[in-house]
Amino acid sequence: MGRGRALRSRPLSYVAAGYALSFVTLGSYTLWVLRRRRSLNRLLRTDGRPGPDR
Amino acid sequence: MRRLLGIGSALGLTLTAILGLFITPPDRVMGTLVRLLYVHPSVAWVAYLAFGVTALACICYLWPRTRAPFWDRLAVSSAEIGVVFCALTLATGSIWGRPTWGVWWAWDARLTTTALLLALFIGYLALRRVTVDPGARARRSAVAGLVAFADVPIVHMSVVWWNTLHQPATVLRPSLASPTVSGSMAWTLLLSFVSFTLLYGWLLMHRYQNSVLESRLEDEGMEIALAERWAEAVPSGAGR
Repeated sequence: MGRGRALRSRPLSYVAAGYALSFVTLGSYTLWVLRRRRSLNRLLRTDGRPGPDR
Repeated sequence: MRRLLGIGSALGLTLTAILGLFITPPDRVMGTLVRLLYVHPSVAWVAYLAFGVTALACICYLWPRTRAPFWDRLAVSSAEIGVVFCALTLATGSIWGRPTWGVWWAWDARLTTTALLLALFIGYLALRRVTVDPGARARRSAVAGLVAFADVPIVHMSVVWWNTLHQPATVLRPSLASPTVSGSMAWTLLLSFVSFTLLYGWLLMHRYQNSVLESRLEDEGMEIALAERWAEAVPSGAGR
């Protein structure tokens, strides 16, 4: 209860949390899309078969 | 074009964060919490936009004259991005709701219909993994995409139709000429809308390219599997 009240009295922590969550999530998703692209290209170069490293 | 979108969105989002966090003034009523306004509505707008593009692509796929794999790939690419943005809409809204309403979640009309929208589009993505045949998958998911999109206008109008905790629209109001925000706050909000939209465009181009590669991989995998089965069958048939 006390912790909740302390958080409510610091609205900036909520603002920082909102920004951090948004930017980290979108950054992670962007990286995932780019990595997936790289792995798909690699798979296609090996004729659709999993490479020796898999 | 793609590079331009990427650079534009990166610059725009950086500027949005700087303006939103440090330059714009606190609101008279909401105080510093108003800074979340530069993220939450823009993210929600992109979710609407992404699901709108999905619905349009679904219609184009179902319409016999325009039916092409392009529309199916566009639909799934946009839906996936929409799901990410819709989840962020709920998360940032919840972060805003805790200090404002005193709760992380309320079964409010806007919140509930948005959660339903997220569930519907997760269902759309799940449905695509159930069917193997590409034609049947595209047709079924196009219908599912349209059904899911029917929730978007309900989400947007929920604050008008029902008595809700959620405040009415700030910019996308029935009377567009009278937004309830002005000055540096309005410009930052506009920049945020543009930047997140550019990011959506950039992500969509990359995600679409992934869909093309996935289809090629699927086709090649099928061809290889058939060739292998054929190679296995020929010697046994020849021996009889």
